[in-house]
Amino acid sequence: MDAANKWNRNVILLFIAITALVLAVFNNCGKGFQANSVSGIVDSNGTLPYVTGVNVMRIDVGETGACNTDSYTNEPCTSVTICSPNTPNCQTINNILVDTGSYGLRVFSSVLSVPLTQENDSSGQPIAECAQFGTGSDWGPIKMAGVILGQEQQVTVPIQVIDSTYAKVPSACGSPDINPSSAGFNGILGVGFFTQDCGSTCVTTSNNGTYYTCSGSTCAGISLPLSKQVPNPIASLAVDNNGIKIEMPTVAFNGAFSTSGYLLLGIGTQANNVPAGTTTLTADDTAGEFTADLNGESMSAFIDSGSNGYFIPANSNYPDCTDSKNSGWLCPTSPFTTTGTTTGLNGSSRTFEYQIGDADVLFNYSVYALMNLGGDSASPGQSNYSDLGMPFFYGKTVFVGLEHTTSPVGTGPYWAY
Amino acid sequence: MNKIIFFALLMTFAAPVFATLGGTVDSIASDSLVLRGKSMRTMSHAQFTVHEFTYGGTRVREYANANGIVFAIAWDGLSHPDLSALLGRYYADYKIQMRAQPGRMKGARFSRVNARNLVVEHGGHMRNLRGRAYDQTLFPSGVTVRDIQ
Repeated sequence: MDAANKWNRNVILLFIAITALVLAVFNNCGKGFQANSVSGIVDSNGTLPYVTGVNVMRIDVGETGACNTDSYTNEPCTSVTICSPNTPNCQTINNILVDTGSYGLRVFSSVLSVPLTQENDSSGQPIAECAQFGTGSDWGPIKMAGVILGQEQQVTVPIQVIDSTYAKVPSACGSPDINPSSAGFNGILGVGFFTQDCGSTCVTTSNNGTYYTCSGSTCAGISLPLSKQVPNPIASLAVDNNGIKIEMPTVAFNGAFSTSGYLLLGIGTQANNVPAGTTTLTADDTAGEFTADLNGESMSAFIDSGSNGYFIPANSNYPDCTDSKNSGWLCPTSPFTTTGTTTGLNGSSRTFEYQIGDADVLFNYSVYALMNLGGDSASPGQSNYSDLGMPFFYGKTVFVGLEHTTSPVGTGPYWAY
Repeated sequence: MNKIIFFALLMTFAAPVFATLGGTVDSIASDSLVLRGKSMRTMSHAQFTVHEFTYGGTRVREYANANGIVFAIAWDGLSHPDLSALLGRYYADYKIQMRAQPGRMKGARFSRVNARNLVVEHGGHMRNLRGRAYDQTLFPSGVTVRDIQ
């Protein structure tokens, strides 16, 4: 983008800001919103002290820093450097989604320029994966890549190269992401507390819906040893490998165009990642969940930076939006700040304050960072659950402790905040 | 809140019996082969029967009414099941609606697709994905969506 275009764009953004401000004030009449929102619309609000170190990665939200024009509301973006294994032939890729709800690195084939090495099974056939998420999936081959996180040493690990044109997508994989623009990201850095994306089930069963081997265009399910599965690359680091610290500033009630924080590698391994005043909440080592009490209901829950809202069961206080374009989001008529409680398997509890706003109104602001966006988790599956997404991280420091590791605040898998 | 009372819990390790949505439980459908399910169990409630099976780290539950018609399917676990195997005659409508909808909502970890009487929901996170598919016009009287867990 040249300077003139950028200037034009800034003028347009300013216009949008003013329009959003007017809309916000207008829409808030009778909606019960807090009145202190005006300053939050036109700029990012909270800022954090500058942090340095080899273990530091930036997180941006909005069309700034590591994000780009594909980015979306409450998407935490970072940059990752990918290399031909054990070579200095590297490229840095931005708009990588920081995702505590998944495990492993995935990058679109279309943004990769350095050659990577295909991973094969014991009979020499290429290995591919269908990585499934709450919504959607990513399909493509598994390749060995040199990965540099922050300024740590390069590690060689299997990653998924996202490519919906690879071989033939198995019908069980649904409709996988086709390109960065429709997905909203160039890749996903899964930094949740499991060491691999699949784990022991994929070692023992071939119909795991995750790993495949392909002969020509025909792919069939396979079992795969842990060493060949896509790992959370943090677990593969030589140091700072026991988890992460995510620190984000506060965001005002009616949002911010952009905000920036930090992803620090390691827990209690450097001066910049020592926990202070946190409560450690352990999670179960199969599903990776703990318990949350929200709106008078106790349910399974997880903390997921890759979800862009609080996803909770809709109820009479928090109804689904009736406007079809915002279907699935929550539109309470009287938003209010309330307290939730998270409880680990270890019995420890920590409360947090949250607010769910009217998504019909919030989306009119045309901002990227929203601290009060809620969606319906519609109690599918075994029982009700809640997904504490990116808004949960605003104004907090959250630690994610990897399984099979220890730190000064506990043994993973755990969250601490 | 409609509370369904458990009055029987039967455990069986016989050959699994699966069906597609809208089909009958005794029409052993192709999904049994596709999903290669095992460890079947059956739970009877006042107004419906739940047939549960697991495969590759995922648990699938099929809800059948008194006539043996499957009116809902729910799942949780490692992967979302192959809906081309489970949705039966609804699958064509589902595919059409999926094509008609704009791409999945960026960043949202929950989705709901409505195609005529069919509702399909996906959610959860890697290692514990969840979802359900149902046709409310087939629900026994008194049964609500909240009972499909």
